[in-house]
Amino acid sequence: MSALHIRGCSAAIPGADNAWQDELPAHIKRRDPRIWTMAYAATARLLKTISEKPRSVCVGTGLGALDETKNFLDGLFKDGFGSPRNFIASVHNSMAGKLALEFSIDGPNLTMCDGQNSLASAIALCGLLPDNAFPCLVVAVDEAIPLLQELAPHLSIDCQTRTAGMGEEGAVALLLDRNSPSGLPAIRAVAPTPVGPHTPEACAAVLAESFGARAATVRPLGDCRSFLSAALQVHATLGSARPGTFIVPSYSPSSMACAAIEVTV
Amino acid sequence: MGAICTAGSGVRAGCDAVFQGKDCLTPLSLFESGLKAPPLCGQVAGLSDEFASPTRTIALACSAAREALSVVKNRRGLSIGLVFATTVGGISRSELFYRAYRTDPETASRAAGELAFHEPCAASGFVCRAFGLAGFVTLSTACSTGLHAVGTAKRLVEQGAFDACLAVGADALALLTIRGFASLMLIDPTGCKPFDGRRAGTSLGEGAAAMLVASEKASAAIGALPLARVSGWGASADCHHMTAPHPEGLGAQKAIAAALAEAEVSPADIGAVATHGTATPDNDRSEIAALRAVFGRVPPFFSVKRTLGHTLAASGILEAVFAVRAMQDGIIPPTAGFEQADPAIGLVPSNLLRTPIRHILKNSFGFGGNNASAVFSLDA
Amino acid sequence: METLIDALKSQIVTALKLSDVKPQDIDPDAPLVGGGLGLDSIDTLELLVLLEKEYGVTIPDVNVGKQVFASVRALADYIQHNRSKG
Repeated sequence: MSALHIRGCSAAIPGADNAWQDELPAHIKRRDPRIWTMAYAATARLLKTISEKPRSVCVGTGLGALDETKNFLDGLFKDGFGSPRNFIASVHNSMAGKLALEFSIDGPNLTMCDGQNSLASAIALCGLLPDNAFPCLVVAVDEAIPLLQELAPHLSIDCQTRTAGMGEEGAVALLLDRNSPSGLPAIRAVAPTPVGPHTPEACAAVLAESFGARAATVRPLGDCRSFLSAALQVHATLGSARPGTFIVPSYSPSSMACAAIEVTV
Repeated sequence: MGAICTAGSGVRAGCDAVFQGKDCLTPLSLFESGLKAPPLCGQVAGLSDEFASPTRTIALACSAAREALSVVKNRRGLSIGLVFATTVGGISRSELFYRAYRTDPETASRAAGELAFHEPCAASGFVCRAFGLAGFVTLSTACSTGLHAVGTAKRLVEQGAFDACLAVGADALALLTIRGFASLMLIDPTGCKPFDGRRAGTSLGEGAAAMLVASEKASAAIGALPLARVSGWGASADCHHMTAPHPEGLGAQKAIAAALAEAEVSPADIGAVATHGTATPDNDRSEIAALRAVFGRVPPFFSVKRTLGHTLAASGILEAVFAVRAMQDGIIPPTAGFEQADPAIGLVPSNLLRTPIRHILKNSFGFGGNNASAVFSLDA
Repeated sequence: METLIDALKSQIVTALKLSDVKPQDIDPDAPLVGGGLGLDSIDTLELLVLLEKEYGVTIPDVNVGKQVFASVRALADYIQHNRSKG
């Protein structure tokens, strides 16, 4: 499978800047769940920078709108009444559905939930879509969940054992295309693979086996508690604009599988 | 193919129930729903679990996966991938933990174990390891996921990522989904009535199904005759509303048309439609509107939601399994739960009909206006 | 009746998370859904939850629902006639 071209990349990362909240339209800022607003903000920033309109959506998310699930259960367990709005938002693909609605994207709409490997899965799946689904909006989004942070002392937080991750939050949005003019950065990925040692080199080897070896700089695995780590590395790599081929590895302790994204600038 | 549902374990058990148009729903007994009365649901009885599955969803998935893979007598170094579809994941276990934790903070000490399989991908990873599969992707697009998984499996095989790919959809019943759907007024506690004029909502169910998709070469190597071809897959978004479908089924029309186009069949070639048919007032009406727009003359159609319940992410594959079996046997099943026509729809589901079917259309529509359609074909 | 209307206004703002609306600014006779508050069909479902949770009142069908949600006053009226909680 050939690489896809990156027409643009934007992000909304609360840790880095909070201007994104001011960019939200009133109807979204008003009542939408936080995870939706981050995905929206990153997408809005992306679409401001390019004229092409996305025709499909692939979202990668580790935990989805878990906070909304918790809110629904709180209502249920406290008073016996769960809020319908919380339930709708808590379905994993609600972000992708909301993006389609807000930006009128009526083509294929997929949501991948592979933990820390979610962006890799989203890119891998994007590559399977038909030509008329391009350009494709690919968004990685995850939010910090206060409940998990509260439970952190009790959760297995090293990557040797399974964990319900926590940490960084934000959204990274990419517009991917096929058959584009040359000179654009390229990206491709392998879907999660259950390999033994989850070292960056092992992840890179999985990529090399699928696509053929290429001289590349392998990024560190990063904090594998963070679902957003791979997406942030991809964003940083594109931002630095340093030429070269970079491999961003990822590992999901929950599924015990690793994946890799290759970015060529 | 493999399946497990309220009608029983195995494709055959489900087939028998579907072909007879049986009503297999029973009042919810797996757990207390907190609703006025236990709603009628498709519950799996006596789930045997030989894989020490950490969650009910995984136990269901393994049952279906094992049946589907049993056709592979010798893997001969073939790589088999996995596309896993689930909405619930480990929620049926996580919600119990959370309920306990809310009243007793000491419960936190159990967090690591109880939440280890919360994520959807934890289920995929487990199934992947249990069956020695080569790699996986985990999809979660609510009710349409199952069919997207089948389409994705097809693409992965076509593009050479794997020699064969198992598409598995699994969802266990959970308090979250039962109460969630109830809060949206989408449940008919007395049992769903697809396409009926008195329909008032759907009935939830649990189950799992698996389809092993392989290239011709891999099929020959495996030594199994293909049951049917996945000839077309279409996907689209309504861009209309987060839970209600577009009234004219515009998005659905696109997905259906795309599936037909890829399958290279004309509407007239479709022998039957295995509908999404959830029996909500909105879905049935807009699904028929979409079918009318694409077909003009709508082929005979049926819904199995009263027989099996709406199994969410599993439904696309589970119902596709029975659609393929129906096509193989030349049977259009009756629709359990249907009694009175709806004048606003103007069409009624088919009675039991024996007729050759060469191509069958399956629809699956999910929350967020997510549409999936697939065409399955018998080889000549 | 006025106390009930005032209470309802506050409860609506809280339940529907209308962070930019002050309860006292809600016109008790203006349409609830499709009016100036920007409420949608999911808000109607939330209002049903509110009715049952706070007042023990349910709405039997969609048509009654349309009349009941015509305005805050209509809602208060329905509650007064049907409530089971004190």
